[in-house]
Amino acid sequence: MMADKTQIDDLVKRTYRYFYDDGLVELGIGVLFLMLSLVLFGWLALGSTPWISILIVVITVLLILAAPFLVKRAVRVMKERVTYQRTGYVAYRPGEPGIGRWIMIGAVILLVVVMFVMPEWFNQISVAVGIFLAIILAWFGYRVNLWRFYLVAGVALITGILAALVGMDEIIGTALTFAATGLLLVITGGVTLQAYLRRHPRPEGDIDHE
Amino acid sequence: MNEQAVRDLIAVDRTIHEPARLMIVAILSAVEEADFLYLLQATGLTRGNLSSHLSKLEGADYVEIDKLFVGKTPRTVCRLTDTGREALESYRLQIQAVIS
Repeated sequence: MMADKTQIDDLVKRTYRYFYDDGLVELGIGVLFLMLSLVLFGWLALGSTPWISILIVVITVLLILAAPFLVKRAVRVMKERVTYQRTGYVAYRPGEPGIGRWIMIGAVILLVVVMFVMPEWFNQISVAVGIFLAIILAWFGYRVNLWRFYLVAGVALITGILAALVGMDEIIGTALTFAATGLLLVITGGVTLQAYLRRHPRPEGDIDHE
Repeated sequence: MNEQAVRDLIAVDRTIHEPARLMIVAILSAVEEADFLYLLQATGLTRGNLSSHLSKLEGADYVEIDKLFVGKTPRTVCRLTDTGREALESYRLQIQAVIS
């Protein structure tokens, strides 16, 4: 009588997930995290004079603020060249300010609470960064139903906590957390892209509406 | 089962009721727009079949179809109209009334 409701729901979920099928978003975010870790490692290498510290903070803040636009733009360009020609173009409706915003707020509140109740060694920036990234990535994985985001969330959390546990310098620990998370995102993104290109060779000729 | 709702099924929107067109409308309801190539691989329909169903949906003013060029590459972009969204919602409520 009608297409099965479950099949329709699956179709809609697959449509939402399509944005991540080519691994390009992960590659973009992974590169961003690696750049952040490089900035922090650069801070260590250059020494912590007041001017250098100010410069590093400014660069980090600018990078974080510019990140959504840079990643979005880079992903869009790559999707035009790689994805849209193979499996088609989709534009998503602007996200409504819904649960995502509350997840971010909840993550910050949780972090503040955790910092107060946990022991001294826990109060490290690397732990905060690890927890924050883990919550965001895990929520992401839940939203698009992709297990690899849970894996990266786990790595972010474990790296952040381990860095604090072994008594690592805060900046090194934070840089390592970003580096580990970024590297894993680049790897999972790269593997996903490779699998996508194998599954979807570029079609011959133009596919067009008749 | 709601007997009146079952009897009302005779008036179901047959434009959307057809499984292939329901798939197309469901996909387009989740996005701003999608092109022909995406709909082709997402629905698994043949090219001719998809064209035919899109034409019917366009004829019913449920779908808007634009042909444009991205650089030198042609792209046929489809989006659900407000009429199409309302029709899908009415169809969904009608079927839910029967099932519940």
